[in-house]
Amino acid sequence: MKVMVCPLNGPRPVSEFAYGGEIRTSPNPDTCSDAEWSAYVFNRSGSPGAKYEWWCHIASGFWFAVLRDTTRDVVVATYPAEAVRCGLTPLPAGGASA
Amino acid sequence: MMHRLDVQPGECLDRRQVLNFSFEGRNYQGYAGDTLSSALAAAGVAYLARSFKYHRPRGILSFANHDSNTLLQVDGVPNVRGDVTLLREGMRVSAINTFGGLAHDKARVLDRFARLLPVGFYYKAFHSKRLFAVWERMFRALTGLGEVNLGAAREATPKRYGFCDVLVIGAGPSGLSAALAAAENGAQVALVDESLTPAGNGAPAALLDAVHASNAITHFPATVAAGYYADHWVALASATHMTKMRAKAVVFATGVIAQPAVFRNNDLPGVMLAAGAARLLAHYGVAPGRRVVFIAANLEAYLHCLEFHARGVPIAAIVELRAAPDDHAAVTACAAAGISVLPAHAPYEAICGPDGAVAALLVAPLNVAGQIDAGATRRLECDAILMSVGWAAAAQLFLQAGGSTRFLDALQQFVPQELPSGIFAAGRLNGVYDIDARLADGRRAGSQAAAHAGFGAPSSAVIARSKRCPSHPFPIIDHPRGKNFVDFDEDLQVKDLENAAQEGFDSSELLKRYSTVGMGPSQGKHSNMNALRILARYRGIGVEALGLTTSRPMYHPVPMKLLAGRSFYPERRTPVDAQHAAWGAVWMAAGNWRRPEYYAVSGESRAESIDAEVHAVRGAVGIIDVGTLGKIEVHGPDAAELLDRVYAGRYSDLKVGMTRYGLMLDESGVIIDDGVIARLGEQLFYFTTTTGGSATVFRELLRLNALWGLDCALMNVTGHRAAFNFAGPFSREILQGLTDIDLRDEAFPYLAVRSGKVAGTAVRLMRVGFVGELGYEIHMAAGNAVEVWQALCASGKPKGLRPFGVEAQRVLRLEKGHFIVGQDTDGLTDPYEANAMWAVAMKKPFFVGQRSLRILQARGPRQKLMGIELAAATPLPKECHLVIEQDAIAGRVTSVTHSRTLNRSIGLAMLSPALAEIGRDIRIRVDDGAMLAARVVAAPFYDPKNLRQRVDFRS
Amino acid sequence: MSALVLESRQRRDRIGLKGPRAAQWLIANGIASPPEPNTWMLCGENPGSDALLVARLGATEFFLEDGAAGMKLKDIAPDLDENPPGVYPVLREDFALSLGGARVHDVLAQVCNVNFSALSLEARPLIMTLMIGVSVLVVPQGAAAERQYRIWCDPTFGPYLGESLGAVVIECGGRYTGACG
Repeated sequence: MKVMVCPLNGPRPVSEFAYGGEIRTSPNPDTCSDAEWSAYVFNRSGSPGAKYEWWCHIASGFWFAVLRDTTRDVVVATYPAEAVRCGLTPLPAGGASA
Repeated sequence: MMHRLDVQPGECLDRRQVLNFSFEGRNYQGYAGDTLSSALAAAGVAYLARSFKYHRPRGILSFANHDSNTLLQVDGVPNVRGDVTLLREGMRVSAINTFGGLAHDKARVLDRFARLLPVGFYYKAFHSKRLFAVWERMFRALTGLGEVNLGAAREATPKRYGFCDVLVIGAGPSGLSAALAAAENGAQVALVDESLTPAGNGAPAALLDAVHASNAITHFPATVAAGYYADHWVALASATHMTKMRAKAVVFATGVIAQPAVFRNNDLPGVMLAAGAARLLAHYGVAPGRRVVFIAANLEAYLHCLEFHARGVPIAAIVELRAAPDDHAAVTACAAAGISVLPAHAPYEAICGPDGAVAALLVAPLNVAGQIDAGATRRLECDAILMSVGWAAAAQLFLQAGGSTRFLDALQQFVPQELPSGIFAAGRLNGVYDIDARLADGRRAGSQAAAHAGFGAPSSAVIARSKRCPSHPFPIIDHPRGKNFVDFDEDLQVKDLENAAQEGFDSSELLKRYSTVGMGPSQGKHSNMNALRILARYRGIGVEALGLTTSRPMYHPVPMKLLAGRSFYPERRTPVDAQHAAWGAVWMAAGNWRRPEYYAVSGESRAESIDAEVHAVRGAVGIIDVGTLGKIEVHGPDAAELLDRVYAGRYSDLKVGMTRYGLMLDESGVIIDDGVIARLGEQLFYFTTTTGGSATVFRELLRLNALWGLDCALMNVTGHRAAFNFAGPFSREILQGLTDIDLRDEAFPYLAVRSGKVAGTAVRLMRVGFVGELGYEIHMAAGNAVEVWQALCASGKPKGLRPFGVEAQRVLRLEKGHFIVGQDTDGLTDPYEANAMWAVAMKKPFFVGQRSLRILQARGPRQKLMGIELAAATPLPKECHLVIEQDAIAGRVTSVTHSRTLNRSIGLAMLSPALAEIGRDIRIRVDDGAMLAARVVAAPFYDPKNLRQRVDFRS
Repeated sequence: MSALVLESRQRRDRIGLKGPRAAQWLIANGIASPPEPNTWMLCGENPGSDALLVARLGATEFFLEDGAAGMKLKDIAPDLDENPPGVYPVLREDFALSLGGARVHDVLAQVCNVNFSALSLEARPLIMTLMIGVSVLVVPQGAAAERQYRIWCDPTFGPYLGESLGAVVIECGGRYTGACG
């Protein structure tokens, strides 16, 4: 089982965490077209590469961001949730390995 | 014939302690320290099993648990591994895979019909649909090993987590020195070895002593490292338990596995791997025969030969496949001892004696091109044939760990090439064979692993690989009549593999799956290497071009009980669990909660009890434990803002002291949860979620709060607060007697919430209408729940109170037309379809799902949740039965029940818009295909004007 | 080393605090607040039966438990009732256990994937983890030989956790005792 480093609780097996999906930016619901909104709601990129993801440490209810390279299944870095609010460093287009 | 010698130096037996056991109904004796295999061998029992396909007699092959010849049925337990299972007094042992006993196995005729069982037989047989069932019945009867005792008692074995800095797998010379080097660098080391009695496999005694003296090394003897998982997590299986070992670095000192020579009748009892026979001799004092032939292609054969000679076992000859043996003192010593060597000769055929075991070996000259001169065979009389022709790297676990290998022609062996981070290899696995080099390689790997784990500096030593080649490039001898076995588990001969390749299955992966080579219990330990050689010859390419297959975990068979462990099932109980039991609760599982489905009363059927519970609520008073509802508090200046965003309704305008229904949507506008939101203060809300949704809803709210950075805090008090719904016409009257809160309508209207005391305990009281009667949800600290429950029950009993369970509540809410999220709605249901737009405030600036609802609003509903009714005499359809219109599916029943209150059957159905009209007749198809008539009606069915909420308790 | 014992510890006052001003409020009320997330400290003159355990869960959340004879939480209750801004009380009705004695790490290794025996107690760590499927708060106390693990979980999981741990403890030669204050 993989080990993930939680910014609050330190290294723990992934069974202690819940996955919260890829971190994606919502288009502005008041100005975007129906098509743009539908694409945001229903479409996910399955292409391998570096991705920001939400993860939650279950026992402490602590949410944080994970930069994961899905090509290698390696957790590159983790960040507290504030980093998501402040804006994560954009990833190269196409999600190249970090 | 195998037999026991006098006491041997260094043997593992206690010959003072005689153990009695039986095999196939006959009684035998062994000694304490014997394994099942060694005890049977010592007793001269040549046959231990019948082979999987042809039911040929089989005896000991590897004596290392690397073949399935010694799987035994012991005291009702199937597939016990005789090579590694210690003998105990009174064991009753029998062979597996026989029909009518080992000696007279009725299926042994299959051996004569071998040509009818070609490679890929299953695939070919099942190709015909017409004969599928015939073959299936036959195969089910014939295949499978051992007999499972279905009445066996559950054995809960402990499973444990282990932690170490360096895990060393294999306690031979390189593993021992790796463990010691890592420990000396300061690492905590776990040392695993599958042998029953790890004797160091030739390591110096001083090293063994030092390893045993080290406090930093934890030993796991008789334990198999059976699976490798991400981040250095290794499954360690012993006879009694599983350890999930997390290491910071792993040293693979897994060594090599002795390989058989392939020649006709090489599976006869008496043909053994020399390495196994040597262990039987040294540790258990068992000689393999009285006249032994060695088949040699490496130096180890001569070293073993000297050992056997020294212990008085007569040796007939050494059949040497190579043109000349090594230039080594051991070879000279064999010659000096008068042991005849036949260089450039190969075994051609083992001859079966009248007892079914080996009686002689036909050998033939072998030229440098690897061709046999079958016209020049010689017969060597013997009763045992010991093979020492080569090795295969025990790389299965290394490959699982993500390592890659390459094939070295000079060594005729796969060796590690790329090592993943934290993975190290040492010893013979690395192609290092000389004892001093193995020790040095172990020290190097141990030091590097310790350094990886943060202890000391890594060794920079470079250890040279062996200069001698320990393995023959092609120890496989063709024979026109076949029966030259490559895989002993699966009864695969040379021609089977060639035929598979000819049929197009000519990559190592395809060959494995089609022919099943390496798919038996020993997972290719004795067969994969030779199969690759045969495939390489067939294709005219080198073995290096084929590559190894990776075994999946567990690469070594592990008993199911070890995997199951103790089997923990987390179960939640509310604080009044014991009170439910006292009332006769019949339990049901709701998520991980246990809840009363209903309360059994003697003399009543289940249906009668549920009916009576409904009746009590409608006519008097009932109480249900709703402590399983999710219960969340949100505090802070932005609390209302958070709720406005996550629920479809509006809460910023909710008055303190009031509650409002809440509908939660996902981003696509689908209903995912519902509950009641109570405003206890300007900056304090208390709300409920569904029983099943509490954990996920709370977690999602935490995420959204973290994302939005609102100034409020969420607390999940689901388990810390208990809750009851106390409902029925008498509820107010009874409750007023127990509380200081003014319950009169003008003081405490419908949907209000108040704080106060009930039965002396601080509570939050909400006036709710879920079951359609005057009712109160009482929320209190879990620790005070029992006294409140008891006070309510005591006061209610004279008025006809009954506690009611989940089933009665379902009937009650259905009479009121309330849907249950997840039962009446599914993963596509939006509020339009569920007729729940009354709970949605579209004019709010934002809420989750709002944007999608705008799109859905324009599109119009694709289905509608409607009330349906059936005549009382109509049989009840089931939930999920389909509504059929013009031979097409036009909807489905989501809830249905018979309402005694209304004297008809009622339900909810998700219907296509064309059918969703009040008064419309619909037809429901039930299990037997019959059609039931139903009518679409308006919900709620019971008290549509909510008059029951206005009943004054004094009237 | 003392015998292996699992004790149920239900009779103590507990409360949680959450909110941006919770730490300041604690200090203002004479309660020392652990400066680091996921650490704990004991507060009170007598570190024995009346000491208040103050555990910091992350940045803005606290868990407080009075000693068996402690009165501190009763003392501060009236002040909390006045809803100090940015300080939110949390109902904590946890099921509480105390595990210690010989083979304690043997027991823990069978129920939890955290390597408790390797913890350094100098920093007074507090561990939030899963124990046989249940979220728990664990506070290790005492020197190596007298190590005690205080364990808290949601009360509705209490019977399951207590009975399951108890069975492992008994198998390891220990005792599971009922309420001990």
